[in-house]
Amino acid sequence: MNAPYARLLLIFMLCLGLWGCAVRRIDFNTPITPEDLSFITAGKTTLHYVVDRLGAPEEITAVSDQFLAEFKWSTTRSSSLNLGYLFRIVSPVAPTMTLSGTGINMQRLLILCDDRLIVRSYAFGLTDEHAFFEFWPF
Amino acid sequence: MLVRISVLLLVGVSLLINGCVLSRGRVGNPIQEESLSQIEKGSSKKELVVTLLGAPDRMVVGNDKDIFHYYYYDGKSPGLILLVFNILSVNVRSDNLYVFFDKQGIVQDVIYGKRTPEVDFTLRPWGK
Repeated sequence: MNAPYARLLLIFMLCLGLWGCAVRRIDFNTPITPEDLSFITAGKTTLHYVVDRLGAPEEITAVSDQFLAEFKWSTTRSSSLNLGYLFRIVSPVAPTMTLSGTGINMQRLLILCDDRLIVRSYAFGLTDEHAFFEFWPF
Repeated sequence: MLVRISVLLLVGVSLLINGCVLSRGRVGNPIQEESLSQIEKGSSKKELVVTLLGAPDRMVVGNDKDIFHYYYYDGKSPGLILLVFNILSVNVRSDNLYVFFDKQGIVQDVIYGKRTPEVDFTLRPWGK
């Protein structure tokens, strides 16, 4: 086989591999890392100062005589592969045979404040870690 | 020659923007900062806050305080829908406002954070 045909075949194979492929991503708010919280001193730093640096929490709830500020952020990755697209080579009608996966990395930071909104303590929620691409649903 | 270049340019641009998707979604009303500046700690009452900002989206009661929570979400979504491959990104940011009242309904504290100006149409399906 001469070079131009081999190159064409390679491009065709690459297109086949990508056919019916979809990648989606949803970002909600900016991630907060433990390093971002290095300025917090329990008993001194106010919630106002934290909000100036990190933005406002998604939720504030009253817990006994304290307030709990909850910061949330997430990354959702979803990908799918429609194998039915391959039938387009031989058939005008392409059946649908899709493998798809979605991973939601929901993350939380809880900050406990007293009734004067001074930070008493803080903690990160456990992180969900999902793969970048999850085509295989089984 | 000029016609040929123009046609090629037109075809090129058409091919480039073909399959481009731009979408935007919002939840709630943007928090009006002019209204916010009229709220004074220690003197403004609940009635004024409701007149300026409307009814809260959520209310929290506890520790002898009432908290009015107002929120606004803004999302921008760029996408590329090609014949063989699709990429879609959705970027969402939130604004939150909390107004704390004492038992007498007087404003004690205001907490406000705005993230929506950061939201953009960046297409980034990969990366951290």
